[in-house]
Amino acid sequence: MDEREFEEKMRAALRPVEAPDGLAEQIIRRAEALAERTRKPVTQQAWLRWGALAALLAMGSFGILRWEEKKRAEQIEARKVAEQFTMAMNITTRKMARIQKNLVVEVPLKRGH
Amino acid sequence: MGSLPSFSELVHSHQGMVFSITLRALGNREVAEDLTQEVFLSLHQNLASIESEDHARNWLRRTAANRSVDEIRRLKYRRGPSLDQVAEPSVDAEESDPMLMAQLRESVASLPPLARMLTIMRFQQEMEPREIAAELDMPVATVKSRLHRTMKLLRGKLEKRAEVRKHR
Repeated sequence: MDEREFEEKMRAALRPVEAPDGLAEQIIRRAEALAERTRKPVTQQAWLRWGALAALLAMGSFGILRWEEKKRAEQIEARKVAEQFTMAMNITTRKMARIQKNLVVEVPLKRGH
Repeated sequence: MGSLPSFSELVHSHQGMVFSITLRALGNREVAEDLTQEVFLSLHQNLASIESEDHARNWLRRTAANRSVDEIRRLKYRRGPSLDQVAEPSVDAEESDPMLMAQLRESVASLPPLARMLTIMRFQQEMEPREIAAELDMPVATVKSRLHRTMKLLRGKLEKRAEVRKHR
């Protein structure tokens, strides 16, 4: 048997065969059943996804509100501190001005002696 | 390239090809039927990525080949009767030389998984070595050399059997 003849025999031995009766219908039925099974969880998953998104948004909004509140409190506190500082500075400036005035008045008197 | 037929049409058009690959690779109708179903169910799940009928055919052929190789390896390492032991008698009354055909199929069934698949793709699916290489993601030179070695091995086995028969 030469090479060509051997290859022809191989083709004959391995030739394609017909699929068994009913195989296609069985495959289609299984695919439909599988699609049906996976469809439900997808709906549930969609609900879960929307629920998670809503919870995330609620948590996000709450977080933002808390942050703004905290920021506002800090600003009020800072303003109070600034006002106290300004008041303290004003008092100090006034006192300093009084002392300086006294000094200016006293010095020419001493030179005059 | 063409439009994509429905899943049902794809099953009807290509079930023979997938079943032929799995049957010749595994040598057992029941296992081949199960694997054919698995291959099509996998196609159904991946249908969104399939662009045309040609794409579907190539996808099915590649998946059938890879899944058959995996199944041969899996069954080989599993305890219990091997595939060769449970293989159905493959003598077909319509064949011109049923004994020779059965011997050839038996010899193919005794090949290592990949060599078996290369032989099926070359002689059943009538694929060129470069097509097989592209489909199985292998270098063309490797496909050619493995096919050459396999043919030599199969011819040697056949000649040996013929000699044994002659001396009886």
